Amino acid sequence: MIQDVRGRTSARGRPSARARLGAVAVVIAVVACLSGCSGGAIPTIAAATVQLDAAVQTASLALQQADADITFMPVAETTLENAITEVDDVSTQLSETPVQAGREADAKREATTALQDAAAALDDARTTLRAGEDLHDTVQQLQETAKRTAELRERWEPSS
Amino acid sequence: MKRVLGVALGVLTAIGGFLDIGDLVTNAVVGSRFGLSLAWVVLVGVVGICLFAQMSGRVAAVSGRATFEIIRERLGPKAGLANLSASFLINLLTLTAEIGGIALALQLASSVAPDLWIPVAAFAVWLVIWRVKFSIMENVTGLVGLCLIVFAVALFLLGPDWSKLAEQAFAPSVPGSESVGAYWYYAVALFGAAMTPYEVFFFSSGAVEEKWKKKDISQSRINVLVGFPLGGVLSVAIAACATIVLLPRGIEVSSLSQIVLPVAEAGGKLAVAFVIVGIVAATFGAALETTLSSGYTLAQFFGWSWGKFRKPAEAARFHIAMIICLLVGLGVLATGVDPILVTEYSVVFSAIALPLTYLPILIVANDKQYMGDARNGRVTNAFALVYLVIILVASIAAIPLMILTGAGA
Repeated sequence: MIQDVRGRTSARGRPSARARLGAVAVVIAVVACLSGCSGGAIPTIAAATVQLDAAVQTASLALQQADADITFMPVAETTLENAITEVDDVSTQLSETPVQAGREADAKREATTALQDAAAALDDARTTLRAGEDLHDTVQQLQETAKRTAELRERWEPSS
Repeated sequence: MKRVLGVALGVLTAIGGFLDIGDLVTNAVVGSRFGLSLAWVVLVGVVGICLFAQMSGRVAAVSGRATFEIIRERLGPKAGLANLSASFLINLLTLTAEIGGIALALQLASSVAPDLWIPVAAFAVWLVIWRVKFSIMENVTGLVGLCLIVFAVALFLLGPDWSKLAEQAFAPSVPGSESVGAYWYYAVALFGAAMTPYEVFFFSSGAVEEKWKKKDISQSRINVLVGFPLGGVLSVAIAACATIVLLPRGIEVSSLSQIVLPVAEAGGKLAVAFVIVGIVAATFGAALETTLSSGYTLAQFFGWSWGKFRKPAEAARFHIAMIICLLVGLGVLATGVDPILVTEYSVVFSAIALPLTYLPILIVANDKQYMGDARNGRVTNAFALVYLVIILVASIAAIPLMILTGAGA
């Protein structure tokens, strides 16, 4: 680079604006590819199953604690609400994921069914918790749901 | 006897005041995903914050002026402005996260939605800053924040396999389910959480508020060198609790309520009560510190009258700046953004801004004109240079890691 007497870089010897923009575009493209733009819908579906399982396991643990009277109701309620929000987010994310026929479509269908089951179970749990009813059956139902989401996660979880 | 009590109070306040929403969330997230394999980062971060906090405390005690004031005078307005911009923006982001944190903690105690708690929390922060004496404010939040020791108690009550935890901590490796990029992204985030810039600015401005003199340097050192490492132990305890209870269940922490689950599992309702009080105190204390730090940095850069030791009417611009910062934080949270997400970004952006914060402190602490005989020794400078390299690497790596890993997803 060429500098004038004040030490500023002159236009001569400096890459043009277009070249710099090009370089930036290349960097962005490389980063976008590396960050997972490739690989189809399977990684997104796998990530959704991980999130779904984490939400259901959280709700299940919170409800067990409420049933065992080792936590306060507001804590259990808040945890359950957060889990429901998480499942809603996953549901939106999954519904917006375009898939190709075959393996991707099957995976999405399976994950969507699990999501709907989990959402229904969490809704039931919220109703029972709010009503102050006995939580024993609800805890068992959630544990069953958690078992299924864990199996689904194991099948789809990406190994690094 | 009075001196011993003063030191004890200082140390306890430093422990209780060490943790904020960034430490709570980041340690729990890391524990639930990586076990204790990132505990070494907490150690590196704690040594770093001890090094620079005692440096800035010494600068304030010797010169009688806050670090930021001297940075502007010593390095000129341009370097001062770079320092101000980086520190102030990160501070504002952290302030927003802390206000959100208070609201989330109060939700755990009441079931009332955080949206309703946010304005209450911001108003309470303003009221305390306006009305309460600096020392009372600092000591009360720091001491009540000690309730977070319940994480260490919970760790013992959970009866973990200590050898397994030690193996994770001392022979760290990336868990099979996680990518190397995510591991390093969270390493940077943990480092940023431990070395948040506001802690140093608050520490040095607080020294001026409390009128420290050269004779107080030893007490300041004890506060930092004992209090902060014990705060670091609490950070690791949070991660360890998440490792024991959440990791085996595949629960990746994404909300504050999940951080409480291991404590309930270990100690029941009593422990939950302690942890909620502790989180409210820690986030409230940090909200006070970040709000004050916003006012301190702006006032010290522009040469306004500042300090809680002055009546608000005598430091009007300082107080107005803090009110505006609180309103900006409220505005950001009013958009409905998740405070946990704000927290996660704030710790990573902290890491990015670290060189602009810590390099000027090192330069000032070596200036004979300001520091005289109390300037840095060779050992301190050697450590500080090593840390500058680490800080620089973390700062440069933060954004690429954020993009490559989708913010650690």
